[in-house]
Parts: sequence; C-alpha cells; structure tokens
Amino acid sequence: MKITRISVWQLDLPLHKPYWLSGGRLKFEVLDSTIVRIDTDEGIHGWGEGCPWGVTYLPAFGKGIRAGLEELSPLLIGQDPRAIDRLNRLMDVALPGHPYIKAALDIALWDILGKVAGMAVCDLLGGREPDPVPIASSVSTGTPEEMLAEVERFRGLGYRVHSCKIGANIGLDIERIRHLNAHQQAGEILFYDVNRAWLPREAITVMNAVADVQSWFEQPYETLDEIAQVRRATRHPICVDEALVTQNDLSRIQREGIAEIVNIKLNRVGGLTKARRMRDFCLAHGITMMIMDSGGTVLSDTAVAHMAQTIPASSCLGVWSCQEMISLDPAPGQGARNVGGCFSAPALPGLGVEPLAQRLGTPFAVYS
Amino acid sequence: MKITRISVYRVNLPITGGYSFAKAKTVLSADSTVIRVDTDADISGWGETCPLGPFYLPSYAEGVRAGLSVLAPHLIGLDPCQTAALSRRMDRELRGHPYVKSAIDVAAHDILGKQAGLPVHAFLGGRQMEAAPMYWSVSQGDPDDMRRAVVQARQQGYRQFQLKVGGDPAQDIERIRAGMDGATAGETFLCDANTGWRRDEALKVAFATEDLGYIIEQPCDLYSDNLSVRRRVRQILKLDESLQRPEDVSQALADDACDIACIKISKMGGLSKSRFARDLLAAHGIAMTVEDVWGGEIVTAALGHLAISTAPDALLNTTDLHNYNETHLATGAPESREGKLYVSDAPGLGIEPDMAVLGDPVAVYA
Repeated sequence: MKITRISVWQLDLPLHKPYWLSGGRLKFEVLDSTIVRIDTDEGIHGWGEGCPWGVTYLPAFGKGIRAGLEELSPLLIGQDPRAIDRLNRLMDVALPGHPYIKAALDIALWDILGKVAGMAVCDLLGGREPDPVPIASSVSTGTPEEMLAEVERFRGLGYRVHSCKIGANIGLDIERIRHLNAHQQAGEILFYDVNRAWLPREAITVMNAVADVQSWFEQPYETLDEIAQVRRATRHPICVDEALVTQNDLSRIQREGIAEIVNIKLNRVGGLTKARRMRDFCLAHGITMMIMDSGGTVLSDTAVAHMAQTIPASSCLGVWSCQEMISLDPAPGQGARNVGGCFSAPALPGLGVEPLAQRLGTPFAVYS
Repeated sequence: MKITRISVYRVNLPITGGYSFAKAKTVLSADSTVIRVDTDADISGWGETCPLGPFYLPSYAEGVRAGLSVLAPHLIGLDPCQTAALSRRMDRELRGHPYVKSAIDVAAHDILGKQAGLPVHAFLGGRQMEAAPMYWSVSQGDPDDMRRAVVQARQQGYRQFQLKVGGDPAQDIERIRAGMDGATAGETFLCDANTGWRRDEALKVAFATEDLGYIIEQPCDLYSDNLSVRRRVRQILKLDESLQRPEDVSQALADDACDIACIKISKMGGLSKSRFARDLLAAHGIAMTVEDVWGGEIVTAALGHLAISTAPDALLNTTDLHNYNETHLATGAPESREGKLYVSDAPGLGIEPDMAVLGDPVAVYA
C-alpha cells in the first residue's frame, strides 16, 4: 500500500464570539485550520486536521503548517501509510521540531490504518474504555459574575467540568476563584487555567490565598523551572499544558515531581503517535491527563476523543470540544459530538469522520 | 522613527564543495532569506536568516517566509530603534519560531546603528578585541579528505578546526585520527557529531580517542543523553543544538552540562536574545562559539559584531560563513585574514547588499 496523493485545505473557522486568553491579554476571532487528506493506491484515504489557536497561543501558526506540509508531503508520497512509526521518524529527520506541522499527517495515517483494519482508531490505540469522556468547558476571563454566568450556560449544555481562565489581576483572580467556588455544584469540577499569565510571585500569592479551595491550577507560569518553584511554595495540584511538548519534557515533569496532571494537546505534541507514548508514560507514573487539541473542527475533536476513550476514567479528567465554539462544521452529524457533556469515540473504522467536499472547497495544495 | 516597509528577498547560496554533516546530511545550496526594513527616516536596515536545509535545526526556509508573512504586518509603524520592545512584540504576535524573528531583529540593530552613527557592536557591549579567532569547519567525508582539508586550512592561518563526525562510530574514530594527524600545540580541534550519535556510539568514540585532546560537540540529540555522555567521558564537552532558548542555557548551567556553548544568532532569535544568552554564559565562565547556522555577508556581519563584543576569555571562536559560499550578496562584510575575523566600525552592520544578486523581492509588506 502506497501513499499516492496528499491534499491540503485551508479553512477559516469563525468563533461564535471573540475569545480572550487568560488574563484577557490576547483576543481571538477566527481560527486558521489546515485539513489534510492522504490518498493511497488502494482507494483508502485518511483525514487529519491541524488548527493552532491563532498564532500567539503556542509556537504554531496556520501558514506555518502549510509551509511545512510543502516540505513533508513530497517525502511521504510512495511510502506505506501503515508504517506510522517509521513515517514519524522520517518526518522528524527531514524537519526537526515543528511537531504541530506533523500532527495532521499523523492523524490521517491512523485514520487510514483504522480503515485498513476495519477498526476504530481508539481500538488501535489500546482499546475502548467503557465510559464516555467528560468535556471540559472553556470559560473565558471576565468579571466573577460574567464567568459564573458562562459556567451556568455550559451547565445547561450538560458540562460538569469547567476550565476557568484566570490570570489578569491577582486581586481579581482571588475574587474570581472565591465566587466560582462558592457556586460550585456537587459532582462538578472547576479548575483554574492561567495559560502562563502569572509571574511566580503572583502564582504563589493567589494559590496560597485560596489554599482551602479544592481544585488545581493549570500552567501557572511559562517555564518548568518556575512552575517547580511555584509547586514548592504552594499546596494545590498543578497541571502542565503549554510547557509539555516532547517526551523529554514529560519525563522531566515526572522525574522532578513538577505536576500531577498534564494536558496533552495532539497538535502540540505532534499527533496521536507521540501522544500515545505520553499516555502510556502517564499511566505508568500515575499522572492524570486531559486530552485536547489546540483548536479545530469535529475532525480534531474526534481524534482527541479516540485517544481519550482509551484512558481509564480515573486517569482522564476530560477533553475539550472546540467544534461548539466555531460556526463551521465540515462533517455535520458525524464524529464525536457532545452528548450530555461527554464525547464517545465513534465506532466506525478509522476516525469515523468524512468531511463533505462542498464544505472544504478547493484545495490549497495537492502533492502527488 | 517608524517602520514603513519590509521587503523579503530569496537568495540561493551554493556552497563550495557542498557541506556534509552527521547522518549523511548534505547541503549543496542554502536557501537564504534576506529582509530589508525601510523607515520614515530614510534609513534602511538589513537582516538575513539562512537555515542549513530543513533538517539541521528546527528551522526551514519556507517557514521563515511563512512566518514573516504573519509577523511583518504587525511591525509596520513600530520604532525599529526600540529593539527590546520590538523583540517582545514579535514574541507576542507569533509564538516560538525564533529563526523567523532573527532577521528582523538584526535589521533593527542595523537601523539603530545607522541612526546613531555607530557600529552594531556598540549596542552589544562594545568592541573587546581587534579581531575574533575563527575555526574552519571540515565537512564530513573520507578520513584522508578531512586530513587534507585541515592541512589546507592550517596553511591559511587557521588554528581551530571543526571535524564533522556523527556518522558510523568506527569511521568517526578514523576521521578524528586523520584530521588530528599533525596537530600542533596551540591548535584546537572540535569533533562535532551534530546530534548524530546514540549514547553508546558517543561513548565508543570518546573512549577510543581519549589520548587525543579535543572537544566533543553535541554528541546526541536529546539533552538527557548528552548529560549522560558528559558525565562519563573525559573530553571537554560543547553543546549547540541543545541550547535554543534562554531557559535551556539556565538548565545547562544548573546541570553542569557543558564546558563550551554555541550561540547561533538565528537559533536564539536574533541579536537581542543572543546577547543575553552570551552574557549569561560568560558570567558563568562558559566559553563560546559565536556564529550562526548558515548565511551570506549579512549573517557574517551580524555574528561578527556579536563575536568581537564578547568577553575575550569567553570567546572560543567564530566563523566567516559567507566565505563557504559561491554567491556573494553584499559588500562590506567582515574580512578574514590568517584565521581571524575583522569587523569594521562602519555604522550599523557595515554591509551594502548587491541588488543584482538579491533580485526582486518575493514579498513586500507595507
């Protein structure tokens, strides 16, 4: 079996409403998504998506994905798509770094393998756990009242896990946490995502001021050294998100006891193949996971759902559903969808998503 | 002063004889991106970023130009002389991708120098030496070819030689022995594996050549592997690819991971960040190679200014990258004599691009 063609589409994904990153420091209105389709000489094809959250959230940007696909695609033509680890190594040698470029290709390879095997991707990745996976909401930074109203809106949609974005002003952050915590319902999880916005001093001040609140804090500062410093001076569990890119990062987080929770974003770490290794490492060391992507349509969400579906519920706190924040759906009715605040990975072969040609339009590039 | 226009040029730089390094990677021609930053004050600045193929570092030529298309529109109207603010702004508008930002940061320093009537090195701490010692990089090949290349470079006055290894360990041992055949006191040899070895391969080569006094450079890809090798070999250890961000430098210092470090301007994201990393390393007694990944005259000028403003006891060597190429894209670049790099005191970088070589811009942002 050989790869014969790689087609690339660019999609603008308008957000239903503007989104402010933690601390209100960066505004997002449209996401720039890249969708790839890998065709083979046996009539089977696979889909993948790479969609950074703008160009400022992570070291990843849409145009960069497409520039990188120009380097990588010719290399993959003629290769056996089922040799996924081999193709990952090939891509890593040809273009070091830039894992976000490779994620869409890697996901499409898994889609092909699933279709070849007649199995869902989650079954290829180790097998399906019985419970649906809770979706975490994403509550944009605002006043304490605005944030609570947003939590209540998500509650109405069935959400039980809420990622509350903070990190603007430490006095206000304490108020936000107190207000949200006071209105937390039984069986509900509210956690606080700083997205790097604090300095260590601010992190330590806020976290100690709310030491009685049962929750955890995500990515309180930019770098691992300083997160370790915050950890030593505080009591809450800590989650590392942006600072986890490579397996080496994860090994260090474990070795130095920097965090109890990690957020594995498929695009950031380079796709399902690398995320699978991280998942196994986390399970071996008792690290709890969230599985997400940095953005995207139901295609990205479904890849996330397949990975999350393989993790025992006690080790997987949740996923994220980007599809509900955007006003474009390339595959209506298909893939992982919010049912009572949870995702279940589709049982169809591969990812189980077939984007509609008319929703994608003309390809941005075709390599063959 | 305000930035009014950013023009992007693409120049192919054929490399004399090609350039080969670890794991059979060869570059015959480097794809360089040159940028011109125009201002409302009638001063223009030049910068250049030139990856060494897409497979050497996490940087590639199409990525430079894709990144500039995102960054450049945000920079129009900003003051290029406020280099720190400009650098922060770039980090805000596009995360990561330091190599994209390097050319802009260098061009801003060129403008700053021209505006002030001072050479760029004046903004990097000032001149600390008349000329900077250079190494000659010996492309990976047959041991005998590498021996001849060293002899030739020695005749040109070089006293420091970098042998590209990182291939098959048994062959690498031969390469090192051949290259160092005839080494004299006062000469320095660096054997650069460019991440090409596994731990066991690095140890095999290091143990088998323990009688030779040389520096091992970047034996393995992973930082943790290099740290392990470092703790078990007797050679002096230099890190390059493992040091990309200021926090990498801090960690290497905390772990005592190397004796020598390599600063490449585009790897770190420009002169602003390279200066910071350089000064942090110098403060900790770590000697450095101050250079860049690849490039023409503009790159050599920028790295020359950074090199000659480095504390002399912290500068191991630098390099004249433009002299490895067959195409020359500017005049006024630093001059190489007797294995040393001479950097002028002309305002800014001191270079004047040859527009016939640059051709038409591939993109203009205004």
